[in-house]
Amino acid sequence: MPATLSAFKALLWLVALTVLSGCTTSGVMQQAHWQFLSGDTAAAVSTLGGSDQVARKDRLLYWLEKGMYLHYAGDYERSSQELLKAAEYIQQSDYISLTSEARELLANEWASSYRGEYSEQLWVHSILMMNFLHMGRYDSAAVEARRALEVMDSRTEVLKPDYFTRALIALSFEAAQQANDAYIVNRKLADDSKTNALDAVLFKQASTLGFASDAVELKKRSNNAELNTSSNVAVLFIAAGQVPQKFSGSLITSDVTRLAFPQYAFAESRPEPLSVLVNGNPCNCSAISSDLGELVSASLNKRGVSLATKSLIRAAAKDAVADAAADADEIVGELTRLLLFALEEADTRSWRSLPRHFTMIRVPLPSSDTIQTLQISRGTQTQTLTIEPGNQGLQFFSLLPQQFVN
Amino acid sequence: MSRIYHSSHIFKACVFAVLSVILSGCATTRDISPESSIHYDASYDFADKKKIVNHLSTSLMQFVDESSVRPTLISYGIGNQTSEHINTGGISDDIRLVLVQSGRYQMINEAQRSNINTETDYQQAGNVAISQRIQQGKQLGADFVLAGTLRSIVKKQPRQIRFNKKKLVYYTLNLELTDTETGAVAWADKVEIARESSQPIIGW
Repeated sequence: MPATLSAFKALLWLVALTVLSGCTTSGVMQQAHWQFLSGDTAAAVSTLGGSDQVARKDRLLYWLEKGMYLHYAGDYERSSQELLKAAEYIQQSDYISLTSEARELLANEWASSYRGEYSEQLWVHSILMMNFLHMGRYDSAAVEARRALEVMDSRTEVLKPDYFTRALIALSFEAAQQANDAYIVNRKLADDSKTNALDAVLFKQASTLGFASDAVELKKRSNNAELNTSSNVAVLFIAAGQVPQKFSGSLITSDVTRLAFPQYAFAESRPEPLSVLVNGNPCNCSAISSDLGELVSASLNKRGVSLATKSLIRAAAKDAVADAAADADEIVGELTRLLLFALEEADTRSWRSLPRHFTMIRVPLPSSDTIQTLQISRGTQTQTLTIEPGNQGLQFFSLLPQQFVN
Repeated sequence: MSRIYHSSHIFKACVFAVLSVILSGCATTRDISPESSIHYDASYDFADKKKIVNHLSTSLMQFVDESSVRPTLISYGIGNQTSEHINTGGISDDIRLVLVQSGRYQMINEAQRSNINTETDYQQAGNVAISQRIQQGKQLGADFVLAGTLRSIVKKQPRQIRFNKKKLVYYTLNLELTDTETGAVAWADKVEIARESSQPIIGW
């Protein structure tokens, strides 16, 4: 009788664990996501309300999603406030939490706090850089650029192909008049991406910094073509598509053991080519893109060994718990086994409001005393921007997928 | 037997109560001296600001004699080239305060120029009696521009088997006075702060 009682207690404990593990993000987050997908960003922000509406373990996701909705809505100040909280949280969570590890071992990864994929930890800084550039707070953009470089240095093998963020880092340094840092980042980016899209920028920066031999080399590399070094530049940040979503994959190793692991619903995607007209004339613009789908998938794969190891340890632990319960009472043992089988669920949480592609286009602008127009076309869709006379230097514009109209 | 059972329950309750008190912690608030040097981690804090302001303002005051003509300065702020969101305006404001209070320099309030223009335009628009209107064209011209840069170098311990992760931060603030007539750097000084912090890799 005491043995049955103990087994019953264990079962009750497991039921509680199941309830607590909560294999889903909160309803509020879900509702906000649907509102965002239907194009109602303001409603999505309003639905999210305060961070106390979501479980502590999903707090990072709350800040990431809200920060992104506000970024899309053009409220860069509030977006930065949310994303800075996310950045601080990521920094503070950079340790092994014994309670989280124990929860993950007994239930699944849903039971612990979400810390973000490596690429997501980088993109917090990417969005912050764009926000600060839009607000004209160039020193702050450069601070985020340095933080982004720190994240990139820690996960170089996964994050190196994020050319958009690297170009954004260089741009933030450039805007903050930190020309040497901008040149170093651009130079490495040009070498790694094997692109000549940065030749004009590099030539201008090398000339300004007095790197005469580099300037000559860049001029030669572009076959002595005229490199547009205009100081007035419109910089377009163009978002397209939607980042792939995670789903739960599983591997059933026996009748009673299941290993679950997250995967990305990943299909190859290329952004539609863009064309830009400046005052009706074709533009000799440079474009740098990143496929966020490829990057986030690579980030998850990088954690693959650790995830698989945890899954195996968890399976062994669950088997041991079920066996112990079965020793006390066979029925309770079987129920425990079933419950633990059902409890094995992959953590499919991710930053869902990100686009699939980010592209940065630098558009050199001629000097003009009149209003200038930029026409950006993607497929059959066109977006027109106007630039008031008198605006000098770098000017920033963000274009979202829904801003292109037929 | 019943007494033993009863005592055991009381003992458990006591242990639980003591644990609760320990775990709950006690919220406290206390005043600390602004002169104290307390660092929770390696990042920039108020003690660093005080050190920077004290060193640079003392050095700047030694640049001019008490008896000489007071030079006029304009501050163009301190650029932040660190990887922290540090409000460097606080440093330049405090240095300006010390310089003004010392009486050895005159400081131009660049931040108020727009407000001064608004006020002058208002007065000249006929809202203020002629006798009370301020005279235009009498603002001071700066003899020197005061500007600087705060930089940091952060070094983290490489990934290896260890129980703590260490972080080294080296801050340096360079401040310069540039002669507006000649463009020459008339005075320059710097403050250096280096700090190491250690955080456990494993926690609750």
